[in-house]
Amino acid sequence: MFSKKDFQTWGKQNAILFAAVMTKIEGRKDDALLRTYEFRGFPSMAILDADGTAMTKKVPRDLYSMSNIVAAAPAYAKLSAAIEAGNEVDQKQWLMAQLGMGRIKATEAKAKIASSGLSGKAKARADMMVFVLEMAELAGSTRGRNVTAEDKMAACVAVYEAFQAGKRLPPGSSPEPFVDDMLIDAAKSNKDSVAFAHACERVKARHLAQIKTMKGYLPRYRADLEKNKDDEKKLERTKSTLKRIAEIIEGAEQKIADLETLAKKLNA
Amino acid sequence: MHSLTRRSLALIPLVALFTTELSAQRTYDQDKMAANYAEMKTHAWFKDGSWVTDFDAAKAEAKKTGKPIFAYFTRTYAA
Repeated sequence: MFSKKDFQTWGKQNAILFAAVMTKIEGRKDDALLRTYEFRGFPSMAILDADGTAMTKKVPRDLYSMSNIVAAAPAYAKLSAAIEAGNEVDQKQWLMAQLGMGRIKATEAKAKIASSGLSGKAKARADMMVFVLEMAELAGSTRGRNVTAEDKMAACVAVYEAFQAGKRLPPGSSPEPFVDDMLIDAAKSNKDSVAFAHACERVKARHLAQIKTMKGYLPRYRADLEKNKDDEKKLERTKSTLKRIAEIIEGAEQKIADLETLAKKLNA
Repeated sequence: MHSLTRRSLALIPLVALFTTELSAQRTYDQDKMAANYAEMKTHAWFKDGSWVTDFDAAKAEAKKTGKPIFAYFTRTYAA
């Protein structure tokens, strides 16, 4: 993510990029900041003000949401402090700040946009942020132990309806992989080559990237087989990891093959 | 024997504390830590991204420009 040109360009223009690197170099200044900000693991991200106060410690890993959060964080901090102090705030500004931070539910945001009198570019921006929120909430509804096949079907139908209504996510936004998967399922059920073509290349690229990553792990774990040959527990763990990697690779290859079969069926 | 067992049991919390302290004060090869950090600075994500590694400098720059700080917490040592 940070190696990509669009992130680097955005970062130079819109934020001070601070790498809080924990090095374990004795006496190095800033080597304990992870603890200062009460993070428990790596990597973690936060948006801070000029005094170092965290405006948010929840930063999504896609540039669209990151840039919205960085843009909205100062206003959100100022307005939420004003609200807490019992002061009146500009409701349009508050709504945009909440949307930018992703701190509002899609249905509530929709209702507020309708009654806010937002128009023009601001409304288009707000509508887009709500759509991203909506898709992220749908993605959330398909995860977890209690999710049923009906829940997944309902999410698929909602994604497909939005697609047919002409709604498109900003490229690279966090719900994109979920939406793409749903569109492939919908394309299969509805024999829709347009929906298929919209999502296919990204889904394929994602599976190929996963295969590459998994294959990258293989040499290390194969070497561990030899290294751990005298330690039964470690050897079992290594074998089980290798088996899991093989399954993931096989699964991703199968998904690519399925996409190619579907492409032929749909003449896409 | 009985009193020895009781004395040994009484020492358990102390031993546990000492062991925890030892693990918390795990020593790291300082040459390796410095090399790891130097190597990180050669990575494309870092050197092409205008990252600042000094917190005070980041805060001063944020004050000067009015831009927020995007803080990325990472490490260069192995757990």
